Parts: sequence; C-alpha cells; structure tokens
Amino acid sequence: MSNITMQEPGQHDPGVVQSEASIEQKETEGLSQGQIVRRRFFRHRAAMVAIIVLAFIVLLSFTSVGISLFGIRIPGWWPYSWTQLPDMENRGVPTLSILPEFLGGNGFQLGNHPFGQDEVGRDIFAVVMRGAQQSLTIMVIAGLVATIIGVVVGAVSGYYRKWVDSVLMRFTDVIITIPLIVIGAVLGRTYGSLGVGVLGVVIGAFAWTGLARLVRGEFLTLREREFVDAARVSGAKDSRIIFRHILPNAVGVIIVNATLLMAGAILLETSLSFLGFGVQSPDTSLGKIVSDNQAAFATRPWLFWWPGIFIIAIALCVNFIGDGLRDAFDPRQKKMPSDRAMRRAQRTNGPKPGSLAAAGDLDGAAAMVTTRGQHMQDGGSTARGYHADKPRDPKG
Amino acid sequence: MASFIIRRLIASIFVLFAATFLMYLLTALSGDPLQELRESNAPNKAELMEARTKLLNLDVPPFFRYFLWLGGIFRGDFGISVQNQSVNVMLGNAIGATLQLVTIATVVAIVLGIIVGIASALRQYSGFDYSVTFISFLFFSLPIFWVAVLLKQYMAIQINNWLRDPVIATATIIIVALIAGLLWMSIVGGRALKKLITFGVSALATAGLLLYFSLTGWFNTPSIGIVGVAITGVAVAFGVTAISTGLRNKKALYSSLIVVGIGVALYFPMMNGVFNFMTMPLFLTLIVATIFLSGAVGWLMGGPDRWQSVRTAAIVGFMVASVVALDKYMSYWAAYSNSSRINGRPIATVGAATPNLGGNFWIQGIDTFTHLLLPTIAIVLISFAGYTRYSRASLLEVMNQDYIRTARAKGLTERTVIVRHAFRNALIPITTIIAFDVGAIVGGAVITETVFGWTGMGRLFVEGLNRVDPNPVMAFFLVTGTFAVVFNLIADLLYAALDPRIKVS
Repeated sequence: MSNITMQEPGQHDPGVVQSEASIEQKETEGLSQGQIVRRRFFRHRAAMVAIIVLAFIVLLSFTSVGISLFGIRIPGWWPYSWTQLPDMENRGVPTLSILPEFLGGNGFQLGNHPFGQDEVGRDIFAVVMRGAQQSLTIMVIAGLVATIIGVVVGAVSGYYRKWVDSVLMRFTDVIITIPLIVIGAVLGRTYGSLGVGVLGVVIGAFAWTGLARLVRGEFLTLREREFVDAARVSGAKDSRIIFRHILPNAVGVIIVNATLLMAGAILLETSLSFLGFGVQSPDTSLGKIVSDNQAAFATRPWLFWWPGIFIIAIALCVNFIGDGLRDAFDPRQKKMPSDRAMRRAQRTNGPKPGSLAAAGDLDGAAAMVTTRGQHMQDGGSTARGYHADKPRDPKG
Repeated sequence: MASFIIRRLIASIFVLFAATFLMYLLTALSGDPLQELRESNAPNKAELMEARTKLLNLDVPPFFRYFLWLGGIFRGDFGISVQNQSVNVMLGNAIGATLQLVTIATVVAIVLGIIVGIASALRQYSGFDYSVTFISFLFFSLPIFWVAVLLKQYMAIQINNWLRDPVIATATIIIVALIAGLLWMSIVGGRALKKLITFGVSALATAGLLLYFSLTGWFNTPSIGIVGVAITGVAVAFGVTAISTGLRNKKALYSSLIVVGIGVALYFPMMNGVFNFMTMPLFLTLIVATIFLSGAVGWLMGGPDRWQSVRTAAIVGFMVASVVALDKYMSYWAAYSNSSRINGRPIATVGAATPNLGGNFWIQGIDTFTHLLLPTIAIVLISFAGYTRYSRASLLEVMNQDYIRTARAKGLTERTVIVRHAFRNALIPITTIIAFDVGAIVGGAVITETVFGWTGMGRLFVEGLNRVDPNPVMAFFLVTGTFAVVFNLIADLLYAALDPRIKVS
C-alpha cells in the first residue's frame, strides 16, 4: 500500500499543495509502505541521534562491567565490579576530566574512578553501569510483555466484539483503576528480590491497558474495511485475518505506543527502586543508587548526578525514537519546511508570490493563502486516515 | 442521558469492587504482617503476635478477610492499622495534606501548560516552538524522584544561602535579560525590525528590573507599593481586555480601567485597615465581593454586549485584588524570614507547615507558600510537559479545520479567530484529559510526598505497604480509585456535553 492510495482526492487545494504532493509522490514512487516508513524514520534527525546514543549506552553498560546471569559471570573490560571495594582515592572525587588543557583543564583523561567513589569506596562507574544494565533489561522485558498482552487483549476484543469484548474491556477497566505505581509497589515488594526478569514481567503485566484500548479501537475500524471482507469471503480463518490482514495495518500504533510504554517503564522502575519496592540489595538499579545515597549529596554530589543523567538519557532517547517512529508512521505530523525555507525556495524557483497575486493570478493567490495557512497548521496536505495520536473518544 | 449515567455508575461500582478485591489480595499476600514481631526479642512475643492476629483478623484467610473489610466499609469504618490507630482519622488528615499539595500544583501545571502549548502552536516551527518541544521532551523524561531530591538537596540550600545576601551577579542579569529578549521576540514574532525592537525592549526591561531588585535588596524586603499596583493593574487591564474582547471594545477597556482605579484607591484603606483583621472567611468573602463589584462596574458600563464587559472587568478586578493581597503578604516576608523558628532560611524542605510558628493569617500563608514551593515545582515540571504537547497538538488540529479558514475569510480579526473559534474547540479534548488527570492526582503524589516528608495519602500508602498493613493501603486505594472512576465518568460526560457530535447512549 503506497502513500498515494491513502490520500483522498478532492481534499487538497490547488497550487503549492498540488506541487508538493507531486514531489511527495515522486519520492515514494515504487516503494513499499515499509520502505517509506523506514526512509522517513532515518531522516528524523533527533531519532537518529537518540538511536546512536542509546546504542552507545547499551554497549557501554553491558560490556564494561560484564554480565551476571543465573550465577554465570562474564567479566567486562572495566577493572572494577559493582561489588568490589577498592581503596579510596582522592576522597572519592571523580577523576574524569574533559576540559582541554588550553582551557585550564587536564586534557581528556579517565583516571581510575571516572565517576568517583562512594563512602565505602565502591567505583561509581561500575555501579552506574550495572544499574543502567538492570534498568534497561527491565525496560525491554516490561515493554515486550506489555506489548504482547496489550495486542492480544485489544485484538481479540476488537475483532470478536460482543461478550468477549465486554469481559475483556471490563477487566481492562479494573486494571486501569489501580495506578501503575501503586500496583507496581505492591508487586515489587513481593517479587522485587527475585531479580530484574521477574520485576520486568510484573511491570509489563499491568502496563498494557492503554495499548489494549488503542489496539481495540484500531481493530474496530479495520475489521469493517473491504479487504477484511474479501479475506473472509475467500475463506480465511479468524487467526489468519487477525494476524495477516488486520495486525500489519495496526502496526504503526503498536510500535509507537510500545516505544512510549518502554520510556514509561524505565521511569516506573527507577521510581519503584527509589521507594524501595524495586530491585533489592545486593543488586542495584539507577533508582536505587539515588535512593541509597540521598543523605550524602551535600558532600558527594556525583553520587546523585551520574545515575540521574543516565536515567534521563535513556528515557529521552526512547521518547525521541518514539517521536521519530510516530512521524514515520503518521505523516500528518511530518516536519514542514520552515517559513524562511519556503520563502527561499520561492525566491530561487519562481516569481514572487506577491507579484502573482497582484497580477490577479488566481492560482498564485490561492498558493499564498495555502502557504500562510500551512505556516499556522500542521501538515494538512498529506495523507489522512491515520489517526495514531489523535485525541480519542474516551469510550473508544 | 440519565440512563447512561446510571448504567455507567453501576458498571463503575462493580469495576471498583473488583479492583479493591485484587488490591486487597495482593497487599495481604505481599508479606508477613507479623515479621517485625517474629524478629523482636520481646519476652511477651507470643502474646503480642496473638493480639495482633486478633486485632487484624489474621487467622482468617485473605480471601474471606476482604469481605470482613468490605463489611466495615459499608458501615463507614476503614478499620485500624497495625499500630491500632483508626484509619478513618489517618485518612482524614492525609486527604487534607495531599489535596493542598496537589491542587495548586495541578492548576499551575494546567494553566502554564495550556498557555505555553498555545503559544508554541501559534508560532509553529519557530525557535520558541523547537525549544518548547525539546524542553517538554526533557521534562517528560525526568524521573520525579530525581527532580524532587535535586530541589530538596540543592535548590533549597542554594536559595536559602543566596537570600542572606540577595545580590544578582552581573553575568546572571545579562544572561537572563538575553533569554527573556529572545523569548519575547520569538513569541511576538513579526518582521525583522519588530523582532529587534521587541528583543531590545524586553531585554532592557528585564535587566532594569533585576538590577533594581539587586540594588535595593528587594528579595529581603519585597514590596510592590501603590505605584507598582497601578502599573501592574493598567497592564493587566489592557492585556486581559485584548484577549477577552479585543481593545476595540472601548466599554470593556474603560470598565477594566475603572476597576483598576478603584483598586488603587482602595489600596491604603485595605493595606492599613481591613487586611489587618484578616481571617479565612473574610478572605473568601472579599474575593467574592471583588468579583461581584467589578462585574457590576462592567454591567453599568454596558456596551454592545454587556456580559463581555462584565467578564473582562471581573477578571481584571480579581487580578488587581490578588496583586494587592500579594503586596500584603510581601510586607510580612521580612518578619517571617527573621523569626526565631525560621532563622533566615525560609525555603522549607520537609513537611507541610512549621510547627508552633503562630502568627497571623498572612504569616501562616507565607509559611504554607514556602512549604509548597519545592514540591509544587517538582510536580509542575513533570506534568506540565504533557499538557504542553497535548494543547499544542490539539490547537494545530483545530487550526487545520475548514471553519477556521471560513472565519478568516469572513474577515474576522486574528484574535477572534484564535480565541473564539480555535481555542474554544481546542479545549474540548484538553478538558477530557484534565478530568482524567484530576481523578489521578490524589494518588499521583506518592513519590513527591515521600521525598518532601508530607504526611499525605502517598505516605499512608508507602508506610502501610512497608508494614504489610492492608487497611491503610486499602483506604488510600479506595479514595484514589473512587476519584479516578468518578472523574472518568465526568470526562465522558464533559466530552459529550462540549462536543455535540458525540452522543451518549
């Protein structure tokens, strides 16, 4: 399905919009929907930067202090681990310096403890890396679990409707009534000591409600479309219709919301660990580091800054990736050329709009109105019919 | 309509019961309520354990204990906590504290979020818009506990240190002035020359104000004064009229200016007379009287549409009165800050009030303000981002509609198009979101309360959970759950009431 088929003719204004649409069409000619989405995503600068930064954080945290899973311990390249207590050096002040020499710094050097040490001498770099590992693991597991449950519940209730829908949606209402932090705290207190995997599953098992409602809404509209009727008439089974015909069309909503769900999951996990209901000692997580060292911030501020920076960096990256995905799947929100760029393009490419309008050229006048309108508006010229982040009817 | 509400209410009640049942089981099974006694070395350990078992019906399995609890709820009894305190009493205190904390924060976040979101939508793809987008993403990604600890451990100490000798460094003045200039330039927009003038004027004004504050030690003995009230009042009159009715409506403008005049004339009698005997009922009466009187001025001035003048004058009157009241608060600041309980470190980090402070209405008000400041900032920072993004998207969606183009084509002024045609319709989805959020706020401050030591609903929950004590946890959940369910219903009804395209059935 190409972008062109999604446009409804007659909805567009003549003039600039038309020429813009034809540029768009030329760009996407002969590409599949997936290729268009991928291309749009790769052009989203913030999302690309976010992906690189996130990949760097993941690599750094998993390779530096190694992995410890089910008692198997693979050491990393960093000399200290998060449990070791090396000797105190320089009163625990971070040895990292990035200020170049000509600015009065010591040039770039890591030193023995780039992020400093806490009062018993633990290397904070190792601790933060381990915490980032744990938080990332929980984020991914929670995101996967919540996405799977949300998609299944939403798809089944949206496709079968009737009593299945009522039962599943009332169940969703029950879960949604309990604030996530409350149920997370109750379950984290019970299962937090069992490790990050369990904690991730527990968070995921209650974070799916919003996604389920969205997927249900999407299924309710899609199941009325002609291609579903066609599939049914040709004898396709329900499972085939759901997975092969409807689900691929709802994949935009699912991917975007799964990403945003992960950003929420890492903030939830760190908050729970901060409250003491998440990851338990002797293991650590980014939230727990902040909680453990709260009292020492006046004398050792680096205990506070490093874990915080990593939480924000991870959450920000995931949010930006989600934003990029949304723009890629939902072209209504695409980036428009700025006013200045439009004017520049008009100066180089053709006669000035003002002179056109003055000459009574109707098309030119229309073009000017549309450009002005578009400056105020948000990409009204492109495909409609995709309502990923439109405010929804609350009952839907 | 009525049958829809009743059906929804009944469904909501069943949902709530199911949710409480789930919560009760999970809480009761989350640990061992006798743990601390088991580990203790008290000689009468067995008796204590037995007493507690009897007190909390621990010998009944949780599945059946839920129904005992439910029976208590129907009698209006929330049970007792592990330490044999009545949960009803605990709950009463907690709700008050939480509402105080959360109401102001939510109102500020909503108002600020909508204003910034609208401004950024109207100046789409400007530097302001990009900055707001980035900042709201950043705030969206902030962990609230981290912000709260940051404010508590750094901000409070820094501000208190600085208040000893409140001199603003020259570099700070220049930077703040430049930022203010860029901000206004970006918001006001226009051609290059207009932008330059806006930049210059706002930067100079900001720098001048900060310099004045710094040189006169304003932050130690803050005051607005009658001149300040007059200047602010006139500015408010013009600003409110410009947005509410447009400056072309002379009747509305004159009635707001008259209201400002009355406010200035009443300044000395109020400050030196009436305000000295202030109590809470009098305060509320004065607020109502101010709005009523200002409205009456607008009514008497009349105009093509009387209610426009009434509305404008009432808003202006309320704001001028607030400025005068603020001035009265400020006049007590030095006394508050230097009192023996405060000791020159006014920004508080723990609790909801300074114990045994005493003092009159105004001193108590300042005390509440200093205690609310940091937790409010923490909550506002986090929830502000969502409202900004949402109101921006919502207004852009509306500005895209054909009726906006029609309104422009009719030759309506830009103000009328934006305020009456676009903004009102953009508010419909925002209202729904607000209703949802108001339902969730009572339970939403768990972390903020923990960090800032407020004994509110969040504390009730966290401490109850730590002791595996289902009764306080369930009391917390019942209140937050009821709020959430009721406001969900209100959100649906509001949506149907505001948007005639939606039908409830």
